[in-house]
Amino acid sequence: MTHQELVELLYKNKQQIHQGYVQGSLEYADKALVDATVFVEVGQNYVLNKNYITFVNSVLDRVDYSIVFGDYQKEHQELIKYKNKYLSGYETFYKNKVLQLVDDIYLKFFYRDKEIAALLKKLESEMELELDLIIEEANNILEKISELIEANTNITNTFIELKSIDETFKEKVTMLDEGFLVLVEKISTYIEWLNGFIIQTKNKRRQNKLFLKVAHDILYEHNDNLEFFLTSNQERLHHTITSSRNRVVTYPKEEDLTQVGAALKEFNFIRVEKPKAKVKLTPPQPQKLDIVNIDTILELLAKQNCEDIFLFLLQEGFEYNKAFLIYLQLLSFEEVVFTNQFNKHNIRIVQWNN
Amino acid sequence: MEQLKEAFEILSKGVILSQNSKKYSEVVNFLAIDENFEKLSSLVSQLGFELIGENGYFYFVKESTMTPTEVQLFVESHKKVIVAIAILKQIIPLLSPNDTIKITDFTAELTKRVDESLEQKLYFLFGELDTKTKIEEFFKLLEKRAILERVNAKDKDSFRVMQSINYYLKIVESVG
Repeated sequence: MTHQELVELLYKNKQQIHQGYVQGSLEYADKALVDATVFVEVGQNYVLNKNYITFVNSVLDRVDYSIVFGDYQKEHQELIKYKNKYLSGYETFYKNKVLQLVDDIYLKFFYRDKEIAALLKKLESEMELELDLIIEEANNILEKISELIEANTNITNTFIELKSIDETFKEKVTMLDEGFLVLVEKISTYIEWLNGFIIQTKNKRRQNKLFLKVAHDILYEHNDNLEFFLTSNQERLHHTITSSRNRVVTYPKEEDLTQVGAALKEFNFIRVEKPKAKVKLTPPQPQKLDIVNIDTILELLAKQNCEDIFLFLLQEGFEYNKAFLIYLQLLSFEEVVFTNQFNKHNIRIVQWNN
Repeated sequence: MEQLKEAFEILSKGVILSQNSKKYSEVVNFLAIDENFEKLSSLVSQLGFELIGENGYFYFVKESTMTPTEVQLFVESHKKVIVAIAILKQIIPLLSPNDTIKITDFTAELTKRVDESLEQKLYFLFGELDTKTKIEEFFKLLEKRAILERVNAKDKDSFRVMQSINYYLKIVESVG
């Protein structure tokens, strides 16, 4: 049978295969499916080939708690065996065996990672099991995953060794290095997650037991402790009692709301009210400096046009800094004309034009 | 100022505001800022209220002496919610704040797990009602007590677990 024929057979019998997958076993299976070992006869029933179920579960990220992660000891031993054989004669046959085993191991790591991720997801969203069983399963998974660390270390060391033996090995291992490293590091993350999950679940178990115990006490009216606690701590507890017949209001009444409204208004006094009318912007008015009598200077300028106000002020005997201050003040007058040039003091030439 | 008022009005209605509430997210984010919390706290303390903020939720308490009838209602109200949460925990043991619960999943699980202790609890809460109505009333009760919140208005099936569930955890830890 070719692969294509197998795919066609699966498609043609999809309903029956699906029933077998969901129900676990069937009383009847098509002969062609049995011949192709898609179904295997067990007693008077037919069950799907275990390899098929493993394949489907892997593709669909479905795993069972009973899953056993390979420790890769067998593959690792094979890898070492063929590596040594290659080293003794450098035969291509052994070289190819090593390369194939590297690929196989990488793929197993990849699928193992998918399985672990799916298993942890299943654990996290578990609805069927009681917390005791969930904790037990989480501990089992933790144990299984922790055992992988040694296998990871051994395989990593062999991969490193392979890189130093041959350029082809180096190329192959380097190509997988990054992905391999990620898969190895994920194991530590999974272990960390599981440890956290176990602690949290134990805490939840404690909380759930408390709720169930107190609820049980309520049902059987053994709740003196609860009643005492509630009544003696009522000042610190949430009051939400309402009843159409007994209108018990221990939260704000109408007058409270009025008081709060008033208090909120008091907070408002710090708010800056927006101006109602638009502010009319007017140009700044020239201000007089105290350091000189600006009127005297304006009188001097009124007598004649000036090509450079700053030089003019220096010529009039003002010190440099003082001249500059007066210069700045004069800039706001209407008679001022700005040029694009600078004088020898690197100050823009500004003219006075009467 | 508007948010202060809004926070006050919501808390005044007896709502326990959870930090993971989407419905009240603006108010909750507002109260999560120390300055705002202090402001509201100081404002309501003048009226004899206390704003409590703990374990991811906020609520008001008021200094007042309850009448015997009020005490009885106050205690019964807490008992009902504790029994309802016990049912939730029995059906969904891994339940945590932020989890989403679907009524359909809950119903399926309840049908599978139903035993004498679950029946007793449901009877305590809702008496002789049929299972469907009991489940409806169960979700109504927890929604009203702000333990569950609808994921969105259109989705009638999904609820999110609020952090206010920790308020009842605090009580059972104190007496359990």
